[in-house]
Amino acid sequence: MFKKKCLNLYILAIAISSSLIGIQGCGKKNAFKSVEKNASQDSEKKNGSNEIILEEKNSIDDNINKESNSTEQSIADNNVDVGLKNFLQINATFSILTDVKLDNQNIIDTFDDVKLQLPTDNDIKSFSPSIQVAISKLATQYCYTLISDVSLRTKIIPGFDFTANVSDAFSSTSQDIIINALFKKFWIDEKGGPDQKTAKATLLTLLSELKKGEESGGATKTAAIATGLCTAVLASSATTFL
Amino acid sequence: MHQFNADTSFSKLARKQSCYVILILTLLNFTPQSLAGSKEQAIRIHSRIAGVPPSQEVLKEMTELVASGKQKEAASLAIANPNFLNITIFDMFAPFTNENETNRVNLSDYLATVIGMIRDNSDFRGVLTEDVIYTPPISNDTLSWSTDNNTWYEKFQEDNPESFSDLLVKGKQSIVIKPALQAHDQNVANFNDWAGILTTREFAVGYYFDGTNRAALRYLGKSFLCKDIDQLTDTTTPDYRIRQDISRQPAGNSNVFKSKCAGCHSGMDALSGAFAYFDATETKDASNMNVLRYTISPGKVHNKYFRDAQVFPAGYATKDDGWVNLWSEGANKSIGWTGPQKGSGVRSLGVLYSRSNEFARCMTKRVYARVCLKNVETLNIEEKSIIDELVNKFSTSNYNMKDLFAESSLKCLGD
Repeated sequence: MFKKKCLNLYILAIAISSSLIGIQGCGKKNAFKSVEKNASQDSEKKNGSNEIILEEKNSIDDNINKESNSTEQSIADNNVDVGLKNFLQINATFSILTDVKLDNQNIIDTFDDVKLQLPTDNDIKSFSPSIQVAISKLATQYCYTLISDVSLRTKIIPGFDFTANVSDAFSSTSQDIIINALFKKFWIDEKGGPDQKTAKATLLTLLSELKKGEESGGATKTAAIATGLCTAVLASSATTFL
Repeated sequence: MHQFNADTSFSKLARKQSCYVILILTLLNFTPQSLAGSKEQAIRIHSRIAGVPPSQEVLKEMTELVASGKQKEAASLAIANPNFLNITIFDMFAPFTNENETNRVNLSDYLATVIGMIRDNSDFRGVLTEDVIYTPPISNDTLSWSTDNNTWYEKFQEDNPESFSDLLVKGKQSIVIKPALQAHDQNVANFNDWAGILTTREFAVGYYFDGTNRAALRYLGKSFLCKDIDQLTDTTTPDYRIRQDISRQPAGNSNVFKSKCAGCHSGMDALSGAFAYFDATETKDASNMNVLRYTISPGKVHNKYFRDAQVFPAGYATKDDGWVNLWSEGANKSIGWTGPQKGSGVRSLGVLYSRSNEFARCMTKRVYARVCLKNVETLNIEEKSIIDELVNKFSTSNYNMKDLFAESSLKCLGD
């Protein structure tokens, strides 16, 4: 059985530049190490024969290709016990989690815009960056609609002051209110889903970036930042995986 | 309230920060931990069956049931979620309604009938044999079942995206659709060969449109026996029912006919006579609009069965809607055909297919693949034995699809 950890990291590698991510547990890690090591060796041999360097480079490329092909083949060959929700399932899931109705016209319009970009079936191996972009577009509309609706946002994120300015709304104590509420509502699978402690640390990093230069912003900025946090949690694998 | 777009002041901030959001979206794809507890199993059962997460109340109830060893009862709660019908069943059968095999289609009489029969715990074999149709409830608007369009069903789904499956109403094709078909051919008055989805408009425009109606036979096998025509090829089948439009010496070589063409056509042409009275064609409606019209012409073999008859005039000339199953011997005997091996019309053909062993196996494989995310083309010995067990349970449960989903979900609860 192909390990979920490896699979998730493979998805990470597809989704954002592999240079940003430490790919651990997958065959490609060795390939990257091999590149770095041999690049260094190449540097040391600057004054050596170009032919030797070229030969070594070809050898490195061959190794990378072999390992890369091997990794991709092993992914293609293996049954996995995790799936990706399709376009209907993602839309219905977001609707249920946010309490925003499927017949909301803004949701209908956005869903129509991104529907073809969302997964057709549940095959996790079909996951690509364009799918994640479509998921996040749809999640953004759901979160925007949620945060814009006073009764809905009060129900989903109780105790958070959406009317406060950015610095007050996201103070060290109140930022926990929104993050914990989003986890509780959107990530019902605490054990089987993402590790919430790690996720929270990452969200706080996001929050500090979102707040930069916006500390004096009013309720509109607060809502915008809250929508960003909401989108990050809603569009994650915890809600889009089967 | 408006759609989120790049022109709003709100979106400027979000756009500025979008790269962070995308980054964090990806970073939040953390490794799920092992699935072991009752709650995790309950979540998995619900997600796989309904395609959506359970509510907190349902999750609590399901978790308690799983903890007390009542996983099947927990699965029943997931099946009660409207999205089991709205999404899972809809999505499972949607690709069978069209030759493109896409699931991005609207509700139709075909899908409504499948959904309704499963909702009402019907013997699912009736999907190919019963005088049954599910429709939107009759309302004050002017829409009704039409030979020319699917508007009634589309509008109903659009107006009720979260509840259309619950609202479908059971009826009889002999009452609901017969009058509309009769308007185009009076002989329909004496037609009583209604056969579930095989006599719906969606099946007609999907497979009776143009061509030779062989597509109907191909997709009947592909959808309900999980066997495409090339998987049924058998060159030992007698070829006396192959129609006139098939050359016996393609490219001047009669060996090609015997070794290739006859392998499919001998069995296929012998069975596709059942569709001889059915057609779907482009025409103009009363408002002079182009429409795709479904018609039945009882007692009159459609012209498409004689198209290119000059290719081999000594070939079989279709006389009526009779059919014979020449695949009952040879390689395709393994399908497990039961009952009469020849008959007339689509209903008896539906009986032949739905009573075969392979029908139950095909439905089981599709459900198991969907619920357990398995590639059923590469099952190991253990998984094959699971399929055998589920097929047996499906047949003893009166071919109840809900029960099949519940039983299948128990086979992949997680470690």
